[in-house]
Amino acid sequence: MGRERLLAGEGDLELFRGQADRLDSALGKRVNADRESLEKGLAGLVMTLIEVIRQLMERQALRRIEGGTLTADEVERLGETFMLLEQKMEELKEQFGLEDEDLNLDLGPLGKLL
Amino acid sequence: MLYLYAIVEKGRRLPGPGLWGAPSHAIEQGELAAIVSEHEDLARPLDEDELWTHEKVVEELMEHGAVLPMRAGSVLADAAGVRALLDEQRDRFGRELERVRGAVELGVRAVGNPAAPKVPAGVQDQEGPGTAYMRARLDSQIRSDLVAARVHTALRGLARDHVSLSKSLATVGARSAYLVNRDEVDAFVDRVEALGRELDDVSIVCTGPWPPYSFVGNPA
Amino acid sequence: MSVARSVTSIEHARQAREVSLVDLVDRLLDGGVVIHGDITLAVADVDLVYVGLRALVASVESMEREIGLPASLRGGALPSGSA
Repeated sequence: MGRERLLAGEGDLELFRGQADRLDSALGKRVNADRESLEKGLAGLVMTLIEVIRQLMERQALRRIEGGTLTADEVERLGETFMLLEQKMEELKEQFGLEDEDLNLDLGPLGKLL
Repeated sequence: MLYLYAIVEKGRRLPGPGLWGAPSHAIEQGELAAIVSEHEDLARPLDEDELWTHEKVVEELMEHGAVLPMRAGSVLADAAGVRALLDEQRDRFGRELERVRGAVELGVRAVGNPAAPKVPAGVQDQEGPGTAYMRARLDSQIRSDLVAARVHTALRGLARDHVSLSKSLATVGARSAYLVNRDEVDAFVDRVEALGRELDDVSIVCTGPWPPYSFVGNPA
Repeated sequence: MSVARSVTSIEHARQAREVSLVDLVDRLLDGGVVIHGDITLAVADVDLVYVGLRALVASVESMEREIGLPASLRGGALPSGSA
């Protein structure tokens, strides 16, 4: 039995490949987990939590902007805050040597977090 | 211990061997049968080869009739447990077999142009950087959903059913599954290819045919 | 059209297998009939903390569905009606 199931899709399959990196933990190989120090593991966990909350908050903010319930000043301050937060996240990721894939927890049967 | 591959109607032709070469056999109850293989020990994680083996067994079953594929890693202690499952869930399994009979699952993924800027190129007059940022985020969100909507609108009429699979908080790309009649698969794939050509800034892939993993519900 | 790039047929076949594997794993781990009881989910370990995070996400998503958040701001749902 072949292992190819692609029925349509030419050119840039690279865009869809990215998710393949996370297969390692799902398939029990757990390369990253074995190499991580406890500190890095905790940092990753905390940052994932922050990222989850950041995305939630951003979605709520967008909803309110669409609904017109924020003043121009509030929108500006919100945007600046999110920008700063994003910048901080990048710095922290660099500091701990974490990539975006590390933050997208694969919970096996429960699916991916982000 | 019994590893479960799928639930079918009884009397189905048995597929080839399953995990680690163990023969597959059927445990029947009422009008249904569970296809299983027996093992001493099942504690280790399944790797890529083993997942494809699971898939092979299910696909062989699918060649000969409706099948309800099991989630990978489903294990019951003994035949009595299997029969209890088939008995308790017989109405639900019966409905689901009808729901998927004669159809296969096709997966569709669409990704918009990834170069969505976090801060837009042109900042409007009197617009601070924070506002510009939020505007870009809103645009990006809406663009992603428009992509999903266009793809879905084009495909929904060619399928018996559909379900959205994207679970991410950030809409990084639409992922969905379509339940398509066997004899309409070619038309569906043709439409996906046409969409790929029509939509310049979108990449679409279609995979399958899969057993209907995304169209079997779970007990409440 | 996206930027032209030359992809050998071998490379394309490899990418095709990878994309297929991703879709296979998604289906085998997230789909299919789920049974409760004497289950050994012999595919991945899950830490309790991560289970908690996933539950948080799931509950927020279902809350948003309930309060009728516009589709453009709701993650993971296909918009209803024609575009």
